[in-house]
This record gives sequence, C-alpha cells and structure tokens, in this order.
Amino acid sequence: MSHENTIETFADQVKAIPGGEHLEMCYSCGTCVSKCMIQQKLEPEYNPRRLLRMVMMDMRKEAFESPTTWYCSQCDLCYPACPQEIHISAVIAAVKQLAVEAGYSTPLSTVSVDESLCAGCGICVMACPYEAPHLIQKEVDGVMDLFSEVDENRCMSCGICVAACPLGAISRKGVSNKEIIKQIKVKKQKSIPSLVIFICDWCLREDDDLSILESYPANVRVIHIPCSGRIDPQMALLALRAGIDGVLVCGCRPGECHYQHGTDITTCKMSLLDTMIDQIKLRDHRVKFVQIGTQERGRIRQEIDSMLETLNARKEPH
Amino acid sequence: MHAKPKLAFYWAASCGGCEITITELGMRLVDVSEIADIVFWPAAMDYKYDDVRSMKDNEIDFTFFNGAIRNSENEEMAHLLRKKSKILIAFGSCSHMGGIPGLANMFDIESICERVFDTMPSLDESKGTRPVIKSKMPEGEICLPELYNQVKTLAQVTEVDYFMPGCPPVVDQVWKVFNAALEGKLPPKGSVIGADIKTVCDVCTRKKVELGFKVKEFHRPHEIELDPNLCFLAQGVICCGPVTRAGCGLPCLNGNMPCRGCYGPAEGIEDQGAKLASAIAAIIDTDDVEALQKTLASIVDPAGTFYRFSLADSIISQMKYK
Amino acid sequence: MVDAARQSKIDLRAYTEVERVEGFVGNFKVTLREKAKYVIADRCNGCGDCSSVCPIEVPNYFELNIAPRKAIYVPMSQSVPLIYSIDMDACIKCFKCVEACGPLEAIDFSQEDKLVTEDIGAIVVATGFSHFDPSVMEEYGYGKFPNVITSMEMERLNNSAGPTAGNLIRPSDNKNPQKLAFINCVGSRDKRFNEGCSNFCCMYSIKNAVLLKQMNPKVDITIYYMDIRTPSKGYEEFYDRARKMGIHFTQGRPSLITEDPETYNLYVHSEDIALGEVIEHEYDMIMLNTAAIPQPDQNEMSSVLNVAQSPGGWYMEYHPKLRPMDSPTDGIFFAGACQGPKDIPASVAQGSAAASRAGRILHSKEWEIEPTVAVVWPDRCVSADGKSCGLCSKACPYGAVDYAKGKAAEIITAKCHGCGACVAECPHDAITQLHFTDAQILAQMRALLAEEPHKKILAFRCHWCSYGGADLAGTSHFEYTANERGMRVMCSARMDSDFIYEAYRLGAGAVLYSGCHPQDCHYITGQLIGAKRAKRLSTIFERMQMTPGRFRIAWISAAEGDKYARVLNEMQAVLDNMPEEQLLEEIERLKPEVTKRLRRFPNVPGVQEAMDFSDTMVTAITTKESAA
Repeated sequence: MSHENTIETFADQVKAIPGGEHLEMCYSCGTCVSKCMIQQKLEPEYNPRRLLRMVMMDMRKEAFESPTTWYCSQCDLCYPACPQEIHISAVIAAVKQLAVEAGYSTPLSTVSVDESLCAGCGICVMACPYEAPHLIQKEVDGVMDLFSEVDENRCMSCGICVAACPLGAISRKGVSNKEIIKQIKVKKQKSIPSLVIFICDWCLREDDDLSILESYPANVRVIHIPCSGRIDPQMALLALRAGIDGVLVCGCRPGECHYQHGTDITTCKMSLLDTMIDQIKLRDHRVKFVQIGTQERGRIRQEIDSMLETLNARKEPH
Repeated sequence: MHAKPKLAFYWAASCGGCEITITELGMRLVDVSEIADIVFWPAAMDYKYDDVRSMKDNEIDFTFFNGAIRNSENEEMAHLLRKKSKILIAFGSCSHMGGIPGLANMFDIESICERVFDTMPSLDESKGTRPVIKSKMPEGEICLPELYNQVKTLAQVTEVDYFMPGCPPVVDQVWKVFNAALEGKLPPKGSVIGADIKTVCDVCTRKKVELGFKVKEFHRPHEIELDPNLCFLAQGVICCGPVTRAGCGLPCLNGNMPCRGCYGPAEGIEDQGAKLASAIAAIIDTDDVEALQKTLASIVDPAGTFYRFSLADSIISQMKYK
Repeated sequence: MVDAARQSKIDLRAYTEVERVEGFVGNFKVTLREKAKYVIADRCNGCGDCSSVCPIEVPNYFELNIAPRKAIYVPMSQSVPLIYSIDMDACIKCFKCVEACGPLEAIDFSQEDKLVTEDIGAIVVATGFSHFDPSVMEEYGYGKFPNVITSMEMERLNNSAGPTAGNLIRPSDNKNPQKLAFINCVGSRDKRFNEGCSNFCCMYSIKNAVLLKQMNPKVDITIYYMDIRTPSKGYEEFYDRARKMGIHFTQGRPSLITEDPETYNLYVHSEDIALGEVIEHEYDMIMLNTAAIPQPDQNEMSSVLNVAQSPGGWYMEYHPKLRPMDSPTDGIFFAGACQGPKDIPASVAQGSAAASRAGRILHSKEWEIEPTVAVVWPDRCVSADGKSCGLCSKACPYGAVDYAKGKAAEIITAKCHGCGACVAECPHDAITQLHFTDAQILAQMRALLAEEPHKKILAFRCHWCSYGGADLAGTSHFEYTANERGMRVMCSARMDSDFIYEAYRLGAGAVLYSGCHPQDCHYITGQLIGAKRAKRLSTIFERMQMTPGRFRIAWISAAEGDKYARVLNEMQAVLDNMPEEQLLEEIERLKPEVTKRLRRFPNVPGVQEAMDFSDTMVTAITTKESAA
C-alpha cells in the first residue's frame, strides 16, 4: 500500500510556508471570525474560518479571490483567542503570498507616494508595521535619487506612514492631510467649547458606541481615521491653532490595535508631545489620547464628557 | 548714474555669529561695497540709532536683521528698521524662528533672572543685583531696555519680507542672496531664501535604514561611536534631518554630527518639533509595550531637541503666550 | 452517602487526609491525618445550636462563596457525617458556641491534628475533579462583570437547598433573568488551557437549560456550543427534548462578552456558524460552562500514592481500554473523575468496578503478579561490602528496592512490576530479570545477527509501545525494511548499554533504541531512565565518529505503526547510502572500542554459557545452510 502523494495540494503549499503549519487543526469554532471586526466593519464576506476551509478543500481560486486573503491586517487578536492555537494571520499571509505569486493583487485602496515631495528619508520604511514601503534608486525628472516605493500588496492602508512622513509625500485617499484639515474647521461659538475627536475606525466595537459619537451637537466634530497612528502632534496642534479648544484622539488598547502597533506609535507621539508641553510649562493640556478596549462599552461617552467638562471649565471667566 | 542700493545689518538677541558670516564673505564684501552702500551696521562700524531715525521711510533697500526679539530695544529697532526699509530680511535662525535664545520660552523671565543674577555660582559680590530699567543719576535718568517674558521671532513683531535660515546662514548662500537681491531676482515675498525646498535627508548621502529596523534606545552623539556612513536614526541618534530644510551644505553631517535643525522646517512643514516628534515616534520599537517608556525616556530633553531652533516659532510656544 | 455512613463495614473518615502510603498490594500501611475539628465527634449531635450563636460569618466555599457560613459550621445541611467543625482561621474565640453546646460538652478547643496508621489491603482513589477558573479568560469578563457566572454558581442559584432557595436571580440587581446564554467549552477543548473535552458539560448545560425552562417556560435560553456531544444512551433524545422546549442552540464559540455599564446586561459576540455571520445578542445573565480539571493537589497525591498522571494531570490507568479502573500499582484503583472527566453513569460504573477489583484482593490470601520480576545476586552487590551505590533503588519507579549500605540490595517482589530498570542500571551486573536475563537477551541477539550482521537493523522495542507500533505496522501492511530484526524487552529502561555495545561488536549495521513517549510509559518513569541512557549512548557513539543514523532513538506509541515503518525505512536509507566496504571498515574500526566497554560483560552469570551455546547454534545453522 502506498501513501505517497505526487500532486502537491493547496493545503500542502500553505503548510510549507512558515506559519501555515497548523492549518488543519481548525475545528471551525468561529472564534476568529467574531474576534475580528473586519466582517462587522468593512466587508461582510470576510471570514477567516471559511478561508481555512477553502485551503483544506483545495479551493484555490475562491481563496485567492476571497476578501479574507486581502483584508487581514495581521492584528493577531484571533491568534491568542484561538483554542487550537492556530496562527490564523500567518496562514492567511501564506495564502496571500501564493495569491500574489499567482498574479492576484490587493483590492484595497492603498497609499501613494508623491515623488516630487519625497526626500527618501526612510521614516516611512521604519514606521510601517507591514514593511510595505522601501527605498529605491529611481530616475525622476532626469535625476537619480532615493525615493520611497510602496508594495501595494503589503500595504494595509492604515495611514501610519502618512502621519510619519515629514513632508506629506505619502497620502491615502480620504485621509490625506488636506482632507483632514478641511474637516477640522468647526464653526466657533463663544460660549461653548469646540472639540475635535479623531477616532480610529476600530476602537469602538459596538454600534451603540458609534451612535454615542453622533449624539453630540456641532461643537463636537468627529473625524474618522483608519488608525490613531494616522494622527500626529502637528495635526493636533494645527487644530488648536485653528481655534479648536480641545483635541481627543481615540485609539485601541495596546495589544488590540488593528494595525499591530499603530496605537503604540500614537502613545509615543502623544507622550513626546505631552513632555514638550510640560517642558514649556504650558499647563493647559488640551490634546488627549485615550485607548479604548474592546470590552469598554460606553467609555467613549465618559471620555468625551470629561473632556468637554475640562474645556468648559477653561472657557469660564476666571 | 543710478543710486547705489542701500544695505543695513542689525543684530538683536543673537550670538553675533550671523555678523561673522558676513565678514566671512571676505574680499567679496569689497565687491559688495562697490555696488551697494552699507548705511547701518553697528557690529562693524560706528553708527548711532539716530542715524537710522533720521533716514527717510523706505530709504534702506535691504535690511538683514539677525537675532530674536528679547527686549524692548530689539523690538523698537525691529519696528524702526521695518519703517526705514523696503525689504526686511529675517537673517539667521534667531530672527527666523527664535533660535537658541527662543529656548528661554521654556521658562519665565523671573526664573531666568534669578538664575543669572542671583544663584549663578560664578557671581561675585554683585550677586543679587538686578538690572533696573530706569535709574536716576546725577547726569539725569538713564534707561536699560526692558526684558520681555517671551522671546519672539522677528515676524511676530513686524512684517517680514524674506526669511533666510541658518545658524548661521552659510557664506555661499549669503553671497547668492546678496547677488539675487542686488540683481532684483528675489522670489515672491514671504519666501524662505538662501535654502532648498526639501529636507536634509534628501541630500544626505549616508546609508539609509534597513527594512524592519526599529529603535530600542536613543543615544546622544557623545555616548556612542558614530558610524560616519550610516543614517544617524539607524544608529539611534536623533537627527533633525527628516524635517529640516536643506541648503546648509551639511557641515554637521560632514563632521559626523547629526543635523540640529537650524535651517528650520522644510517646505510643507508647519511645526518643526511636532513633526519631528511624529517621525521619531514612528521609528520606536513598540514590540514590548513596557519597554516603550524606557525608550521614550532615553530621549533627553525632547522640546530642546526637536525645537532646538524653532521653539519661539512653535505652536506650543504661541499657545503659552496667547 | 447516608447509606455508606450507616453500613457497619464502612468506616467513614471525614476531614481526613492521606499523608503517606507504604507497603504493597494487600499490605499497605496508610498514614492518615485526622484534622482537628475542635468538636468531639462522638458527642456532637448536629443540632446546630453552636452555629446559630456564632457571631462570625465567612464566605461558604460549598456555596461557591455566594452565601455565608459561620466559623463553626457544617458545609451544608445534608453533610455526612453531620458533625460541626470550627474554622480556626475565622474563629475569634468568644466561646459562645461552648455555652450554646451546654451539657453535651462537644466543643474542645484543645484538639489537634492526629496521625493514625492503618493496615489497608487495597485503595480506591475517588478524589473527583475541580473546576477551571474562567477569570483568566479576560474576554468573558468573569469576575469583572457581575452577571457572568460559572456553571457551579448556577448550580447553587437554581438549587432549592441553595442560598436563594432555588430562585434564580442575577447578582447585579437580584432580578430574575429572562434571557440567558450558556457558553460551553470554557477552558476545555482549548489548547491554551485544557486540551481535552470535559465530557459531561454538553449534557450538563442542556440539563440546566431544561431545568430553568421547566421552572419558567418564558425564560429565553441560548446555548453557545462548538459541537454538542451526546454519545450515550438516551442523551440524544434528551437533547431533542431541549430543542423541542424552545431552547436555542447556536453553533459558534463566543470570542467576547461586553457589558452595558448602565443596565449590567451582557452582549455575546460570536459567529453563527450556520449563518457564517458575526452576531451580537443581549442577555441578562451568562453562564460559563467551565472545564473539569484535576484537583489542585492531584500532583502531590500522585506522589503519595506513587501512581502516574496522564497528560492533563489526571491519574493514569493501567490500560485505557482493558483496565481503566486499575492504577499501574497493584492494589490501587481509580473511581470517577480523578482518572478523567466523566459523567455520573460512567463514574458509578467505574466505581463499582474498582470496588469489586479491590474486593478481589481483600478476599485473596495470595496475589498473582507478573513473573518478570527482578532478582538480586547478593554476592555481586557491592552494597554488601559497605560501598555506597544505590543506583538500583534510584532507578526503580515503584520504590521496590530495599537498599541500605552494608547489606545487599533486595527486591520486594510484590512491589516489582518487572520493568528491568534496576537490572540495566546496576553497574556491577548484580541484578537480573526473570525471563529477560542478560543471557537470554544475548542469545537472541546473537541468533538474529548470525548472518551478514552488517546488513541488519537490530530494533529494541518496549513491550507496551514500540512493540505494539511494530505490530500495527505489520497488521496495517505498512511496508518497511526486511532487514529489521526486532527484540522485545518490557521497557526501554531494560535496554542495557551492554546490549547495544554487544550488537555493534557482533557487527550490526544499525541499532534502534525505541520505547514509549514519556507520558505514555507503562512503568511511570521507566522511559525517562531509558531515554537518559539512550542519550548518553548517542553521545558516546558520536564521539566514536559512528556514521549518524546507525544508532537511532525513537519514541513510538502502539498507535504509530506508520512512524515505526518510517523510522526503519530511514535507518535502511542510512545503510543504503553507505558503500558496503565503508560500513564494514567502520564496524571493524569501532570493534575494539565497544569490546573495551564490554570487558565485564562475560562475567555476568550465564552470559559466557549463553555465548558459547549460541555460537554453537549459530555455527550449526550457518554450516547447515552453506551445506545446503
């Protein structure tokens, strides 16, 4: 009796890529599907459990065309939750690698580099959680120089590089510097404080919490961003300079960031800004960063209310 | 014959380095004097303020004003020279962005005076003697300029036509600007002149970072052996290159020292320090959230590092004195 | 329990712990710690007057700490025996209880723990199981959200003898919950915590759901499950009944529970596998069906009893199919969940079986054991000459070696299980194993390697695992090299270094050293001893620059026939890849070295004779064949 297989199955190929080994341990409990917020927030067809099944069932074409292959941002919330200890994002990454090799490409709208602005400093290369940008020698307008180039199949469109790029050379449709600044403009009213909330698309899991955001009057401007990492201190300060009384940046709890480290990078940025504000002895902290955990239902209301209260107290004549 | 264009140089709160730069033009200065008249230059020649006061408005063609506005005298001269000049150029980092004197905005004037006049260890018996703005003397009342609580940039007290950055502006750029000015080839008003558009990183030839690199600990330049061919950030040394305007000719980098940011923010950057903070934050290794605070703590004096030359011009400084 | 207490031949010792177990089957000496109750058992009539006057209240563990008890207490009103005891950690010594007890004078503050030793013929271990603490699974919010409770808490809350007299209320506001969710497999079938299935929880959550639904048909109950397992008689029918009653079953393991900070209602986030969609539903209360786990002191007890533990920590049975109630130690039996999670019918069955097995011992004057026991040649044991050694006693997994300096080691035959660890470990070849003597094994080896030994792979297999693996490879028709020559010993611990050296001296092409996976060892720690020795041998052969692969160590279970075949084929490939001359040259090169290491071997009683005899036989066979 011979057990040799001469044709390599899809599952074999995936299992051969590091991280793909535990594919067949999946018993389809669905934890990963509900731990992940992509199905709920972005793409109803998104379902890692089904993708794993497609691989096991040798459904190559379906897997390559599945949004699951492309939308997974490797946040790895599902990995520690998986009772079978399957590194799901690594399996998905393995499928994606095979898909790219087979000529498929990402359906996401990714970031783009404006070479006329890029200085080739490499900040984006270091900032990106996905190693999507890299520096290459390229001739632009007859001059050979270093420029950043983004691998669109790696880019998850988080905007961390957009915030990090000193020269605004990288932008993402919808959340470019210009588009955000345009949204910041709030009609000022003397008596009540104005507040700009930069809210990451992922930190509020519940629809209830999202509706809280809409319950405030016009003096509270909510700007949706893909990740708190998209915001930088300059953006917050520009809002204040424009006459906004306070800036609240909301991101995910550490370890729960949809883009791996976006929220941690924001912690660094905001912590540096705070230190500088302290150093200059400006006691008026009007920029606040909060990290909201998936189980903290209703916290967004507390945070906005307490921020408004502080700003109100500031507005009142001494 | 056409009248020769009139030039003026003035230093306010500054170290005088910008004046030295002008003298470093050397023999080229003689060429300048052939085609232009220097009508006011207290650092080099004996002029009195009254000489300026007696001039007609807009009589001076170009005034190169260096130094920040620290006291009433600086401000008075800024207004005076503005009035008497067709074109007022903020010359050098201090008048451009507050420069090193602008770092004083981290403190209030009382604590600075206390340090300088009361507690400085090098003080002799004069310890505790404070300057008095007006004193009665047998000869009459004599005045000292009043120190301000805030260090301001030139543009914060009067309208400025051009900004020429640098601490000090490098000689070649000064020469280029002189020529452009005298030939009437200056760009639209409000521009930064004598510098490039993009950042220091654009012209820096050091080897850039490798993919996947993140900083775990920052060092100050004197703390480690610096590789002369590798990007400073890749060595964990904070360099202002990513946000700083090029045009200086990279003397610091060539001396194996990171960029200190004296040429100010590059085109498109509104706040040099805040933008540098976001660039630096984005390269910190965040794998271990606990170690993060340690990494951040290894950045000594963030405000003084990120805003070394531009604190007076920064949004946070302006918020403080609003 | 009441029946047991009434039965005159049952001596019930409550509040007593087993400190030490010595001896062997039929002859155990068990030391018990009778803990001080501070109440004289003979005098206490269980009236409870003491408890009613006691001013101290502490959480009652029996009620999962949701109800209080006094410092002088019985855990529940049905306790058997109904004797009060004082919790000295809580007692403030106000002596009100003494007063209340009055003329009975049952309370005695001077009582101390008492150690008693009993002669015991057989031991039945029925220590049960414990519950997984779900607070480590932050995603379910147990301990953080008041209305998330465990199945055991539910058990108390809907029990008519419980703290709420069976009125199910939710902790946040004492209201009766109308919409409940039960979550199955909390901490079980989960590699992060407990790999195994807890066996009874599916039925158990269905039971609770049916119970609640019977009490209040309006209550809305959803059971979140991964698989519903109803494998016994009548179970599926019960599941059907629950469905008919309108209990909802949602396939999908919840990934998160969140709480409304105002209403304290809970939201369960899961995928509905049938829909393939993420769902979020609101509930008043959630019950977590937690995993059954071994008792917290199961490790200590296993060393007191000297019984092995299976992966997961449960006590390991002698044989999973044929002797599930026997421990590997004769005279010790398991009943119920201490051996693995099981429901009531299975526990009762196993308990009855264990009792009858124990009864068999109590009714026998003699006890038959396996004949493969170890025996010491006292004249060869150096301990008799006053030298320190004791390696045999260290090696024995059963404590069956009576070793003391100044006298020859002795094997307590009744305790010996015949693994052969001591035999192989003894550096002076002073111990032999009946039916597996060195001479017998040697004779077999010499016969197997009689012809063209360099083409042969001599495979040492342990009786319980790798021998079974080889067997399975055969019955499954997994092809493997015909050059394999198998040798059976009871345990890898018996595989003496001398055997391996002798195999190479005889010119064997390759040698396989195989046995059980460490956690499967039939002789508790036998495999560990074998593995240690194998590793040492492998280092020695490496130093001798033997071609890698000619000595192979492999741990193969009886279920891994494919692995056995694969390992042998890989070994064959090593030999195939070596030119014959090179192999022969290597064998010759190593011979002096292995011979040196075997210098004492011929002195082992019987070995020289075995060699001579087998040589004659081998000569006889080979000449006969060459003549033919």
